[in-house]
Amino acid sequence: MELATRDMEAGILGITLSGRMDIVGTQQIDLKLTSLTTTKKAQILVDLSQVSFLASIGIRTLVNVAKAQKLRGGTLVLYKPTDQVEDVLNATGIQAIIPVAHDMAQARRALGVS
Amino acid sequence: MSKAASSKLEMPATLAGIQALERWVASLAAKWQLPASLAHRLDLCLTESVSNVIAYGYPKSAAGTVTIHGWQESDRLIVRIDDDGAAFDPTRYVPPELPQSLDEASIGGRGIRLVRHYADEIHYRRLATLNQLTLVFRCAGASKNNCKIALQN
Repeated sequence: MELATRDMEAGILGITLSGRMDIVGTQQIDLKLTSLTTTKKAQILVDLSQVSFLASIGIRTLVNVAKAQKLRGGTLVLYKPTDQVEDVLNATGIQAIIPVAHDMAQARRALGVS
Repeated sequence: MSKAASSKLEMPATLAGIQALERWVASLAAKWQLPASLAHRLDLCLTESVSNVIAYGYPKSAAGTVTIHGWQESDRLIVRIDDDGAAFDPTRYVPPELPQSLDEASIGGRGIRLVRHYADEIHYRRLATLNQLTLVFRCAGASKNNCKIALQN
């Protein structure tokens, strides 16, 4: 897997993940994602549009970083998952505990930025 | 069971094995012209089941082998995962309830939930030193003969 960051509007930190988020792919990005998302308070958008496959190990990482960011006082939103990835998020109840946005207006609302 | 409609993978119970599994599922999906949704269900259920075997089935010093057979039977696609790791019956596992908040969210337990969600049937049996997990996928909308994408709708 690969991970890229970009500064976005209103101070949002954008993180784009790409590839297959199984046990192999998640290991490749876990440390970098964790250090980017858990060391300080931030409004974080995790772009999943290029994640082709999401397994439970990848969900575990997303839950862990969302939890840690909440403890810092910030927010994390999952952005534009593919239909298959969103189906996996729904099947595991993640959409009820981490916001999922399909466009920037939804993402801004979820992150509490105008 | 004709040769054309069956396939077998023997893989080490390691991360390198997971990559071999990914390639095997992709080649099966192409060869059998599976619809994308069925290929995804198969991919996810096998990845989760085999990841569990790798993570929990073997003590760190032991190198295990996982053998997977896949075949089609009329309008069903069936895979059987054999491993000689520690006995584990996923059909008896009770996953944690879905969390209502991020604070409540558990660390694990989602893999088996996903297998139950995406496979139509799950069967387990213990044969001497072997775990044998069989997953059945019905090919909704397929013809009586196979699960080809061309025969959907």
